[in-house]
Amino acid sequence: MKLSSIWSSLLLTLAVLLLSFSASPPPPASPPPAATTTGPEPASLNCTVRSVDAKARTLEVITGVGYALRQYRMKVAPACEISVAGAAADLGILRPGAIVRVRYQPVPAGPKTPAQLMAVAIETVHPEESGGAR
Amino acid sequence: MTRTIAAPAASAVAVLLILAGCAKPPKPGEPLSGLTPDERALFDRGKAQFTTVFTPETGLGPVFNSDACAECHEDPAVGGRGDEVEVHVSAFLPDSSFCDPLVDKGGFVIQQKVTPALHAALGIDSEPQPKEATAIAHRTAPDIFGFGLLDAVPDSVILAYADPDDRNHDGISGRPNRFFDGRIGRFGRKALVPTLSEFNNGAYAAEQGITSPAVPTEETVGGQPIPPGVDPVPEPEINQEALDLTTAFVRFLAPPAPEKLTSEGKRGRTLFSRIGCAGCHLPALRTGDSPVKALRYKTVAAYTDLLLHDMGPELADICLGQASPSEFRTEPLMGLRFSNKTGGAGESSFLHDGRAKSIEEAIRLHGGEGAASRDRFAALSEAERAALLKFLESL
Repeated sequence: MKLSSIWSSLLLTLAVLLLSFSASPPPPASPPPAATTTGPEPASLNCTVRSVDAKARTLEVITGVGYALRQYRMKVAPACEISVAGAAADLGILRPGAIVRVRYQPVPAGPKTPAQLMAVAIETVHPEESGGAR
Repeated sequence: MTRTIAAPAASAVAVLLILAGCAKPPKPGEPLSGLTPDERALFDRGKAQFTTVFTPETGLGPVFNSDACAECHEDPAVGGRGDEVEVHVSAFLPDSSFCDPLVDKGGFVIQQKVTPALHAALGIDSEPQPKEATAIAHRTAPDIFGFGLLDAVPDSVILAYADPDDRNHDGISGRPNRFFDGRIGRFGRKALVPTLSEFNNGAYAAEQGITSPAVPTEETVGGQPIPPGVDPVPEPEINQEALDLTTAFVRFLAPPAPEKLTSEGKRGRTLFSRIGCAGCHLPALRTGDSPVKALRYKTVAAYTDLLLHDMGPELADICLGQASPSEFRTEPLMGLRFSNKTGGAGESSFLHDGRAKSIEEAIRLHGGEGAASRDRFAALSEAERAALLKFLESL
Protein backbone atom coordinates (compact mmCIF):
# COMPACT_ATOMS: atom_id res chain seq x y z
CA MET A 1 0.00 0.00 0.00
CA LYS A 2 2.78 2.32 0.95
CA LEU A 3 4.77 1.40 -2.16
CA SER A 4 1.86 2.11 -4.44
CA SER A 5 1.39 5.45 -2.68
CA ILE A 6 4.99 6.37 -3.41
CA TRP A 7 4.55 5.48 -7.08
CA SER A 8 1.28 7.38 -7.24
CA SER A 9 2.92 10.45 -5.74
CA LEU A 10 5.80 10.28 -8.17
CA LEU A 11 3.51 9.90 -11.18
CA LEU A 12 1.31 12.74 -9.94
CA THR A 13 4.35 14.98 -9.50
CA LEU A 14 5.56 14.21 -13.00
CA ALA A 15 2.09 14.84 -14.43
CA VAL A 16 1.87 18.21 -12.67
CA LEU A 17 5.32 19.15 -13.92
CA LEU A 18 4.43 18.21 -17.49
CA LEU A 19 1.18 20.15 -17.32
CA SER A 20 2.91 23.22 -15.91
CA PHE A 21 5.46 23.11 -18.77
CA SER A 22 2.74 22.98 -21.42
CA ALA A 23 0.52 25.65 -19.85
CA SER A 24 2.94 28.58 -20.26
CA PRO A 25 1.98 31.27 -22.78
CA PRO A 26 3.67 31.60 -26.18
CA PRO A 27 6.62 33.94 -26.76
CA PRO A 28 5.92 37.58 -27.52
CA ALA A 29 5.12 38.59 -31.05
CA SER A 30 7.35 40.79 -33.16
CA PRO A 31 6.82 44.53 -32.72
CA PRO A 32 4.70 46.35 -35.25
CA PRO A 33 6.51 48.00 -38.16
CA ALA A 34 7.61 51.60 -37.71
CA ALA A 35 5.10 52.98 -40.17
CA THR A 36 1.64 51.89 -41.17
CA THR A 37 -0.44 53.05 -44.06
CA THR A 38 -4.18 52.76 -43.74
CA GLY A 39 -5.92 53.85 -46.90
CA PRO A 40 -6.40 57.58 -47.45
CA GLU A 41 -5.57 58.47 -43.84
CA PRO A 42 -2.05 59.86 -43.35
CA ALA A 43 0.50 57.36 -42.09
CA SER A 44 2.66 58.23 -39.11
CA LEU A 45 6.38 57.68 -38.78
CA ASN A 46 8.78 58.45 -35.94
CA CYS A 47 12.20 59.13 -37.41
CA THR A 48 15.30 61.32 -37.31
CA VAL A 49 15.70 64.42 -39.46
CA ARG A 50 18.71 64.13 -41.75
CA SER A 51 18.31 67.35 -43.67
CA VAL A 52 15.88 70.16 -44.28
CA ASP A 53 15.62 72.38 -47.33
CA ALA A 54 13.24 75.11 -46.24
CA LYS A 55 13.37 76.82 -49.62
CA ALA A 56 12.50 73.71 -51.59
CA ARG A 57 10.23 72.56 -48.74
CA THR A 58 11.74 69.10 -48.58
CA LEU A 59 12.76 66.92 -45.70
CA GLU A 60 15.02 63.87 -45.51
CA VAL A 61 14.45 61.46 -42.65
CA ILE A 62 16.11 58.26 -41.40
CA THR A 63 14.30 55.25 -40.04
CA GLY A 64 14.62 51.49 -40.38
CA VAL A 65 14.62 48.15 -38.61
CA GLY A 66 17.72 47.20 -36.67
CA TYR A 67 20.80 47.71 -38.82
CA ALA A 68 18.71 47.92 -42.00
CA LEU A 69 18.33 51.68 -42.18
CA ARG A 70 16.27 53.49 -44.77
CA GLN A 71 16.22 57.14 -45.81
CA TYR A 72 13.16 58.89 -47.19
CA ARG A 73 12.78 62.20 -48.93
CA MET A 74 9.48 63.97 -48.37
CA LYS A 75 7.88 67.05 -49.76
CA VAL A 76 6.44 69.33 -47.10
CA ALA A 77 2.91 70.42 -47.85
CA PRO A 78 2.30 74.21 -47.83
CA ALA A 79 -0.27 73.72 -45.08
CA CYS A 80 1.92 71.30 -43.12
CA GLU A 81 1.58 71.87 -39.38
CA ILE A 82 5.04 72.04 -37.84
CA SER A 83 5.49 71.93 -34.10
CA VAL A 84 8.77 72.17 -32.20
CA ALA A 85 8.61 71.41 -28.47
CA GLY A 86 4.87 71.99 -28.61
CA ALA A 87 5.02 75.40 -30.29
CA ALA A 88 4.19 76.19 -33.90
CA ALA A 89 7.36 76.66 -35.93
CA ASP A 90 8.71 77.14 -39.42
CA LEU A 91 10.27 74.28 -41.36
CA GLY A 92 13.66 75.98 -41.20
CA ILE A 93 13.74 75.55 -37.41
CA LEU A 94 14.09 71.78 -37.71
CA ARG A 95 17.68 70.62 -37.37
CA PRO A 96 19.47 67.42 -38.41
CA GLY A 97 19.31 64.93 -35.59
CA ALA A 98 15.91 66.00 -34.33
CA ILE A 99 13.54 63.13 -33.62
CA VAL A 100 10.19 63.87 -35.18
CA ARG A 101 6.80 62.34 -35.75
CA VAL A 102 5.78 62.88 -39.36
CA ARG A 103 2.31 62.35 -40.69
CA TYR A 104 2.50 61.88 -44.42
CA GLN A 105 0.55 60.81 -47.46
CA PRO A 106 1.68 59.40 -50.79
CA VAL A 107 1.47 61.90 -53.59
CA PRO A 108 -0.42 60.60 -56.63
CA ALA A 109 2.19 59.67 -59.20
CA GLY A 110 2.06 59.58 -62.96
CA PRO A 111 2.54 56.39 -64.96
CA LYS A 112 6.31 56.90 -65.15
CA THR A 113 6.78 58.93 -61.98
CA PRO A 114 7.74 57.20 -58.73
CA ALA A 115 5.41 57.87 -55.82
CA GLN A 116 6.47 60.65 -53.49
CA LEU A 117 5.67 61.26 -49.87
CA MET A 118 4.06 64.48 -48.68
CA ALA A 119 4.43 65.50 -45.05
CA VAL A 120 1.22 67.01 -43.71
CA ALA A 121 2.26 67.36 -40.06
CA ILE A 122 5.64 67.36 -38.32
CA GLU A 123 6.25 67.55 -34.59
CA THR A 124 9.41 67.08 -32.60
CA VAL A 125 9.26 64.20 -30.17
CA HIS A 126 10.76 64.22 -26.72
CA PRO A 127 12.58 60.93 -26.14
CA GLU A 128 10.25 59.99 -23.30
CA GLU A 129 7.30 60.37 -25.68
CA SER A 130 8.81 58.28 -28.44
CA GLY A 131 6.80 55.21 -27.55
CA GLY A 132 7.87 51.62 -27.38
CA ALA A 133 9.03 51.89 -23.76
CA ARG A 134 8.92 48.55 -22.04
CA MET B 1 11.07 -6.74 2.46
CA THR B 2 14.12 -4.59 2.44
CA ARG B 3 14.78 -5.50 -1.18
CA THR B 4 11.21 -4.79 -2.30
CA ILE B 5 11.37 -1.34 -0.70
CA ALA B 6 14.86 -0.69 -2.04
CA ALA B 7 13.86 -1.14 -5.67
CA PRO B 8 11.13 1.54 -5.72
CA ALA B 9 13.31 3.80 -3.57
CA ALA B 10 16.13 3.45 -6.07
CA SER B 11 13.68 4.27 -8.83
CA ALA B 12 12.52 7.32 -6.94
CA VAL B 13 16.12 8.45 -6.50
CA ALA B 14 16.67 7.87 -10.20
CA VAL B 15 13.63 10.01 -11.06
CA LEU B 16 14.85 12.73 -8.72
CA LEU B 17 18.29 12.54 -10.28
CA ILE B 18 16.72 12.90 -13.71
CA LEU B 19 14.75 15.90 -12.49
CA ALA B 20 17.88 17.29 -10.86
CA GLY B 21 19.67 16.72 -14.13
CA CYS B 22 17.15 19.04 -15.80
CA ALA B 23 18.35 21.78 -13.48
CA LYS B 24 21.95 21.47 -14.64
CA PRO B 25 23.18 24.67 -16.25
CA PRO B 26 22.68 24.54 -20.01
CA LYS B 27 25.74 24.16 -22.21
CA PRO B 28 26.55 26.78 -24.87
CA GLY B 29 23.95 26.65 -27.61
CA GLU B 30 21.34 24.95 -25.47
CA PRO B 31 17.98 26.52 -24.60
CA LEU B 32 16.97 28.17 -21.38
CA SER B 33 15.85 25.89 -18.59
CA GLY B 34 12.13 25.88 -17.98
CA LEU B 35 10.83 26.35 -21.52
CA THR B 36 7.43 24.85 -22.25
CA PRO B 37 7.32 22.03 -24.81
CA ASP B 38 5.90 24.50 -27.34
CA GLU B 39 8.70 26.97 -26.67
CA ARG B 40 11.26 24.20 -26.91
CA ALA B 41 9.78 23.19 -30.26
CA LEU B 42 10.08 26.79 -31.46
CA PHE B 43 13.70 26.82 -30.32
CA ASP B 44 14.46 23.70 -32.33
CA ARG B 45 12.68 24.97 -35.43
CA GLY B 46 14.32 28.36 -34.95
CA LYS B 47 17.73 26.75 -34.83
CA ALA B 48 17.03 25.15 -38.21
CA GLN B 49 16.11 28.60 -39.57
CA PHE B 50 19.17 30.19 -37.94
CA THR B 51 21.45 27.66 -39.60
CA THR B 52 19.79 27.84 -43.02
CA VAL B 53 22.34 28.67 -45.70
CA PHE B 54 20.98 31.02 -48.35
CA THR B 55 22.00 31.21 -51.97
CA PRO B 56 21.22 33.83 -54.62
CA GLU B 57 18.44 31.52 -55.75
CA THR B 58 16.83 31.66 -52.29
CA GLY B 59 17.33 35.38 -51.78
CA LEU B 60 20.94 35.92 -50.71
CA GLY B 61 22.34 39.35 -51.60
CA PRO B 62 22.98 40.95 -54.02
CA VAL B 63 25.16 42.58 -51.30
CA PHE B 64 25.74 40.66 -48.10
CA ASN B 65 28.21 39.80 -45.36
CA SER B 66 27.24 36.22 -44.72
CA ASP B 67 25.03 33.49 -46.16
CA ALA B 68 23.63 32.26 -42.82
CA CYS B 69 23.07 33.60 -39.31
CA ALA B 70 25.11 30.68 -37.98
CA GLU B 71 28.00 31.53 -40.27
CA CYS B 72 28.85 34.47 -37.99
CA HIS B 73 27.51 33.01 -34.74
CA GLU B 74 29.05 29.56 -34.54
CA ASP B 75 31.76 29.11 -31.90
CA PRO B 76 31.72 27.13 -29.58
CA ALA B 77 28.15 26.29 -30.69
CA VAL B 78 25.40 27.76 -32.84
CA GLY B 79 24.75 31.21 -31.35
CA GLY B 80 28.39 31.69 -30.42
CA ARG B 81 30.97 34.15 -31.66
CA GLY B 82 32.41 34.29 -35.17
CA ASP B 83 35.67 35.27 -36.79
CA GLU B 84 34.04 37.51 -39.41
CA VAL B 85 34.80 41.22 -39.26
CA GLU B 86 32.28 43.73 -40.59
CA VAL B 87 32.77 47.25 -41.89
CA HIS B 88 30.57 50.08 -40.67
CA VAL B 89 30.77 53.75 -41.64
CA SER B 90 29.23 57.06 -40.66
CA ALA B 91 29.89 60.77 -40.87
CA PHE B 92 30.06 62.74 -37.66
CA LEU B 93 29.36 66.42 -38.06
CA PRO B 94 30.71 67.97 -34.85
CA ASP B 95 29.25 71.41 -35.56
CA SER B 96 25.73 70.07 -35.28
CA SER B 97 26.54 66.94 -33.25
CA PHE B 98 24.62 65.10 -35.93
CA CYS B 99 25.58 61.59 -36.87
CA ASP B 100 24.86 60.70 -40.48
CA PRO B 101 24.77 56.93 -41.05
CA LEU B 102 25.21 57.63 -44.75
CA VAL B 103 22.21 55.58 -45.77
CA ASP B 104 22.10 57.31 -49.13
CA LYS B 105 25.67 56.13 -49.73
CA GLY B 106 25.03 52.53 -48.71
CA GLY B 107 25.81 52.92 -44.99
CA PHE B 108 26.11 52.28 -42.26
CA VAL B 109 26.79 48.58 -42.90
CA ILE B 110 29.10 48.20 -45.87
CA GLN B 111 28.56 44.69 -47.16
CA GLN B 112 31.76 42.83 -47.93
CA LYS B 113 30.43 40.30 -50.42
CA VAL B 114 28.35 40.37 -53.59
CA THR B 115 26.58 37.71 -55.59
CA PRO B 116 28.09 36.53 -58.90
CA ALA B 117 25.27 38.31 -60.76
CA LEU B 118 26.05 41.66 -59.13
CA HIS B 119 29.76 41.13 -59.73
CA ALA B 120 29.01 40.49 -63.39
CA ALA B 121 26.85 43.61 -63.60
CA LEU B 122 29.07 46.09 -61.76
CA GLY B 123 32.48 44.42 -61.56
CA ILE B 124 32.69 44.86 -57.79
CA ASP B 125 33.60 42.36 -55.08
CA SER B 126 32.15 44.33 -52.15
CA GLU B 127 30.05 47.42 -51.56
CA PRO B 128 32.20 50.53 -52.04
CA GLN B 129 33.08 52.59 -48.99
CA PRO B 130 31.63 56.12 -49.23
CA LYS B 131 34.15 58.90 -49.43
CA GLU B 132 31.90 60.99 -47.20
CA ALA B 133 32.62 58.71 -44.22
CA THR B 134 34.50 60.41 -41.40
CA ALA B 135 35.23 57.07 -39.77
CA ILE B 136 35.36 53.41 -40.72
CA ALA B 137 34.76 50.83 -38.01
CA HIS B 138 35.45 47.14 -37.83
CA ARG B 139 33.08 44.92 -35.87
CA THR B 140 33.51 41.35 -34.75
CA ALA B 141 30.54 38.99 -34.34
CA PRO B 142 29.85 38.38 -30.63
CA ASP B 143 28.19 35.38 -29.09
CA ILE B 144 24.49 35.97 -28.50
CA PHE B 145 23.88 33.52 -25.67
CA GLY B 146 21.42 34.92 -23.13
CA PHE B 147 20.33 37.82 -25.32
CA GLY B 148 16.67 36.92 -24.75
CA LEU B 149 17.20 37.81 -21.12
CA LEU B 150 18.84 41.11 -22.09
CA ASP B 151 15.80 41.79 -24.27
CA ALA B 152 13.54 41.19 -21.26
CA VAL B 153 15.24 43.83 -19.11
CA PRO B 154 12.81 46.77 -18.82
CA ASP B 155 13.85 50.17 -20.15
CA SER B 156 13.27 51.50 -16.63
CA VAL B 157 16.09 49.31 -15.31
CA ILE B 158 18.49 50.65 -17.93
CA LEU B 159 17.46 54.22 -17.21
CA ALA B 160 17.87 53.67 -13.48
CA TYR B 161 21.61 53.09 -13.98
CA ALA B 162 22.08 56.08 -16.29
CA ASP B 163 23.99 59.02 -14.88
CA PRO B 164 24.63 61.24 -17.89
CA ASP B 165 25.91 64.16 -15.84
CA ASP B 166 27.93 62.03 -13.40
CA ARG B 167 26.02 63.40 -10.44
CA ASN B 168 27.58 60.84 -8.12
CA HIS B 169 31.06 62.00 -9.18
CA ASP B 170 32.44 58.52 -9.74
CA GLY B 171 33.79 59.43 -13.15
CA ILE B 172 31.26 57.18 -14.88
CA SER B 173 28.39 58.78 -16.76
CA GLY B 174 26.44 56.20 -18.71
CA ARG B 175 23.57 57.19 -20.94
CA PRO B 176 21.25 55.24 -23.21
CA ASN B 177 21.49 55.38 -26.96
CA ARG B 178 18.27 55.85 -28.89
CA PHE B 179 17.13 54.45 -32.21
CA PHE B 180 16.13 56.83 -35.00
CA ASP B 181 12.55 56.84 -33.78
CA GLY B 182 13.62 57.84 -30.27
CA ARG B 183 13.24 54.51 -28.45
CA ILE B 184 15.97 53.35 -26.09
CA GLY B 185 18.47 51.04 -27.75
CA ARG B 186 20.38 48.16 -26.22
CA PHE B 187 21.65 45.76 -28.94
CA GLY B 188 24.76 46.27 -31.03
CA ARG B 189 28.16 47.62 -29.98
CA LYS B 190 26.68 51.15 -29.92
CA ALA B 191 23.39 50.05 -28.31
CA LEU B 192 21.43 51.30 -31.31
CA VAL B 193 18.71 48.68 -31.61
CA PRO B 194 15.78 48.58 -29.14
CA THR B 195 14.66 44.97 -29.41
CA LEU B 196 15.99 41.54 -30.22
CA SER B 197 13.41 40.89 -32.93
CA GLU B 198 14.26 44.15 -34.68
CA PHE B 199 17.95 43.32 -34.52
CA ASN B 200 17.33 39.92 -36.12
CA ASN B 201 14.88 41.25 -38.70
CA GLY B 202 17.29 43.99 -39.68
CA ALA B 203 20.19 41.55 -39.80
CA TYR B 204 18.49 39.44 -42.44
CA ALA B 205 18.48 42.50 -44.72
CA ALA B 206 21.74 44.16 -43.75
CA GLU B 207 23.88 41.04 -43.27
CA GLN B 208 22.41 38.57 -45.74
CA GLY B 209 20.47 40.70 -48.22
CA ILE B 210 17.30 38.81 -47.38
CA THR B 211 14.09 40.84 -47.57
CA SER B 212 11.14 40.04 -45.31
CA PRO B 213 7.80 41.49 -44.24
CA ALA B 214 9.71 43.58 -41.68
CA VAL B 215 12.23 44.89 -44.21
CA PRO B 216 10.66 44.49 -47.64
CA THR B 217 13.28 46.42 -49.61
CA GLU B 218 16.83 45.39 -50.53
CA GLU B 219 19.94 47.18 -49.41
CA THR B 220 21.36 49.55 -52.00
CA VAL B 221 24.78 49.30 -53.60
CA GLY B 222 26.56 52.38 -52.36
CA GLY B 223 23.22 54.17 -52.33
CA GLN B 224 22.35 53.16 -55.86
CA PRO B 225 19.50 50.81 -56.71
CA ILE B 226 20.32 47.23 -57.56
CA PRO B 227 20.78 46.81 -61.31
CA PRO B 228 17.89 45.07 -63.04
CA GLY B 229 18.11 41.32 -63.34
CA VAL B 230 20.64 40.56 -60.61
CA ASP B 231 18.13 39.66 -57.88
CA PRO B 232 15.68 37.14 -59.34
CA VAL B 233 13.80 36.35 -56.11
CA PRO B 234 10.68 38.47 -55.54
CA GLU B 235 10.24 40.37 -52.26
CA PRO B 236 9.80 39.37 -49.52
CA GLU B 237 12.39 36.61 -49.75
CA ILE B 238 11.44 35.05 -46.41
CA ASN B 239 8.14 35.17 -44.55
CA GLN B 240 7.10 36.29 -41.09
CA GLU B 241 7.31 32.75 -39.74
CA ALA B 242 11.00 32.58 -40.63
CA LEU B 243 11.58 35.85 -38.78
CA ASP B 244 9.64 34.67 -35.74
CA LEU B 245 11.45 31.35 -35.62
CA THR B 246 14.83 33.03 -35.84
CA THR B 247 13.99 35.33 -32.97
CA ALA B 248 12.54 32.46 -30.94
CA PHE B 249 15.82 30.59 -31.23
CA VAL B 250 17.91 33.59 -30.19
CA ARG B 251 15.45 34.57 -27.45
CA PHE B 252 15.54 31.12 -25.91
CA LEU B 253 19.32 30.63 -26.07
CA ALA B 254 20.54 30.15 -22.51
CA PRO B 255 23.21 32.42 -21.10
CA PRO B 256 26.53 30.70 -20.59
CA ALA B 257 26.90 29.41 -17.06
CA PRO B 258 30.08 30.76 -15.49
CA GLU B 259 32.70 28.14 -14.66
CA LYS B 260 33.15 27.20 -11.02
CA LEU B 261 35.46 29.69 -9.38
CA THR B 262 38.65 28.69 -7.62
CA SER B 263 39.69 30.62 -4.51
CA GLU B 264 41.90 32.70 -6.81
CA GLY B 265 38.94 33.40 -9.06
CA LYS B 266 36.80 34.40 -6.11
CA ARG B 267 39.52 36.83 -5.08
CA GLY B 268 39.49 38.18 -8.62
CA ARG B 269 35.74 38.68 -8.45
CA THR B 270 36.19 40.85 -5.38
CA LEU B 271 38.93 42.81 -7.10
CA PHE B 272 36.69 43.29 -10.15
CA SER B 273 34.30 45.27 -8.00
CA ARG B 274 36.98 46.92 -5.86
CA ILE B 275 38.82 48.56 -8.75
CA GLY B 276 35.58 49.82 -10.28
CA CYS B 277 35.00 47.49 -13.24
CA ALA B 278 31.52 46.74 -11.92
CA GLY B 279 30.63 50.42 -12.25
CA CYS B 280 29.83 49.73 -15.92
CA HIS B 281 30.03 45.94 -16.15
CA LEU B 282 27.15 45.48 -13.71
CA PRO B 283 27.33 41.89 -12.48
CA ALA B 284 23.59 41.35 -12.76
CA LEU B 285 20.49 42.77 -14.42
CA ARG B 286 16.92 41.83 -13.57
CA THR B 287 14.37 41.06 -16.24
CA GLY B 288 10.79 42.26 -16.00
CA ASP B 289 7.46 40.69 -16.77
CA SER B 290 7.38 38.45 -19.81
CA PRO B 291 4.90 36.06 -21.38
CA VAL B 292 7.75 33.54 -21.32
CA LYS B 293 8.13 32.13 -17.84
CA ALA B 294 11.80 31.29 -18.42
CA LEU B 295 12.47 34.99 -19.06
CA ARG B 296 10.20 36.47 -16.41
CA TYR B 297 11.75 38.16 -13.36
CA LYS B 298 15.12 36.47 -13.84
CA THR B 299 18.55 37.65 -12.84
CA VAL B 300 21.04 37.56 -15.67
CA ALA B 301 24.76 37.76 -14.89
CA ALA B 302 25.42 39.81 -18.00
CA TYR B 303 28.13 42.16 -16.67
CA THR B 304 26.78 45.13 -18.59
CA ASP B 305 24.56 48.13 -17.90
CA LEU B 306 23.52 48.36 -21.59
CA LEU B 307 24.49 52.03 -21.48
CA LEU B 308 26.88 54.09 -23.57
CA HIS B 309 30.16 55.16 -22.02
CA ASP B 310 32.93 57.35 -23.38
CA MET B 311 35.88 55.05 -23.93
CA GLY B 312 38.36 57.72 -24.99
CA PRO B 313 39.82 58.82 -28.31
CA GLU B 314 42.02 55.78 -28.85
CA LEU B 315 39.04 53.45 -29.28
CA ALA B 316 36.80 55.95 -31.08
CA ASP B 317 35.51 55.08 -34.54
CA ILE B 318 32.02 55.72 -35.96
CA CYS B 319 29.11 57.55 -34.41
CA LEU B 320 25.72 55.83 -34.52
CA GLY B 321 22.34 57.17 -33.50
CA GLN B 322 23.09 59.38 -30.52
CA ALA B 323 26.37 57.63 -29.72
CA SER B 324 29.42 59.75 -30.38
CA PRO B 325 32.50 58.19 -32.00
CA SER B 326 34.08 57.43 -28.61
CA GLU B 327 30.93 56.10 -26.94
CA PHE B 328 30.33 52.36 -26.80
CA ARG B 329 27.82 50.22 -24.98
CA THR B 330 29.31 48.31 -22.07
CA GLU B 331 30.07 44.96 -23.62
CA PRO B 332 28.36 42.06 -21.80
CA LEU B 333 31.06 39.88 -20.30
CA MET B 334 28.92 36.75 -20.08
CA GLY B 335 30.55 34.30 -22.46
CA LEU B 336 33.85 36.16 -22.37
CA ARG B 337 35.73 32.88 -22.11
CA PHE B 338 34.59 31.91 -25.60
CA SER B 339 36.71 34.73 -27.01
CA ASN B 340 39.72 33.47 -25.10
CA LYS B 341 41.37 30.93 -27.36
CA THR B 342 44.58 30.46 -25.43
CA GLY B 343 45.59 26.86 -26.00
CA GLY B 344 42.61 26.24 -28.25
CA ALA B 345 41.66 26.62 -31.87
CA GLY B 346 41.34 30.03 -33.48
CA GLU B 347 42.61 33.38 -32.31
CA SER B 348 41.67 35.29 -29.18
CA SER B 349 40.08 38.63 -29.86
CA PHE B 350 38.44 41.16 -27.59
CA LEU B 351 36.82 44.60 -27.77
CA HIS B 352 34.38 45.71 -30.45
CA ASP B 353 36.83 45.33 -33.31
CA GLY B 354 38.90 42.43 -32.03
CA ARG B 355 42.04 44.53 -31.70
CA ALA B 356 42.91 43.16 -28.26
CA LYS B 357 44.41 39.68 -28.33
CA SER B 358 44.03 38.98 -24.62
CA ILE B 359 41.72 39.99 -21.79
CA GLU B 360 44.58 41.86 -20.16
CA GLU B 361 45.26 43.83 -23.34
CA ALA B 362 41.55 44.67 -23.58
CA ILE B 363 41.64 46.07 -20.04
CA ARG B 364 44.76 48.09 -20.78
CA LEU B 365 43.08 49.57 -23.89
CA HIS B 366 40.18 50.97 -21.85
CA GLY B 367 40.20 54.78 -21.89
CA GLY B 368 37.78 57.56 -21.05
CA GLU B 369 35.39 56.47 -18.32
CA GLY B 370 37.27 53.17 -18.06
CA ALA B 371 40.65 54.81 -17.53
CA ALA B 372 40.49 54.96 -13.74
CA SER B 373 39.72 51.25 -13.44
CA ARG B 374 42.39 50.50 -16.02
CA ASP B 375 44.94 52.39 -13.95
CA ARG B 376 43.84 50.65 -10.77
CA PHE B 377 44.24 47.33 -12.57
CA ALA B 378 47.75 48.30 -13.62
CA ALA B 379 48.56 49.20 -10.01
CA LEU B 380 47.54 45.78 -8.70
CA SER B 381 50.20 43.26 -7.77
CA GLU B 382 50.98 40.55 -10.28
CA ALA B 383 49.10 37.98 -8.20
CA GLU B 384 46.06 40.26 -7.94
CA ARG B 385 46.01 40.85 -11.70
CA ALA B 386 46.26 37.11 -12.26
CA ALA B 387 43.33 36.56 -9.89
CA LEU B 388 41.22 39.14 -11.69
CA LEU B 389 42.01 37.59 -15.06
CA LYS B 390 41.19 34.16 -13.67
CA PHE B 391 37.76 35.47 -12.68
CA LEU B 392 37.15 37.00 -16.11
CA GLU B 393 38.24 33.80 -17.83
CA SER B 394 35.49 31.97 -15.93
CA LEU B 395 32.64 34.06 -17.37
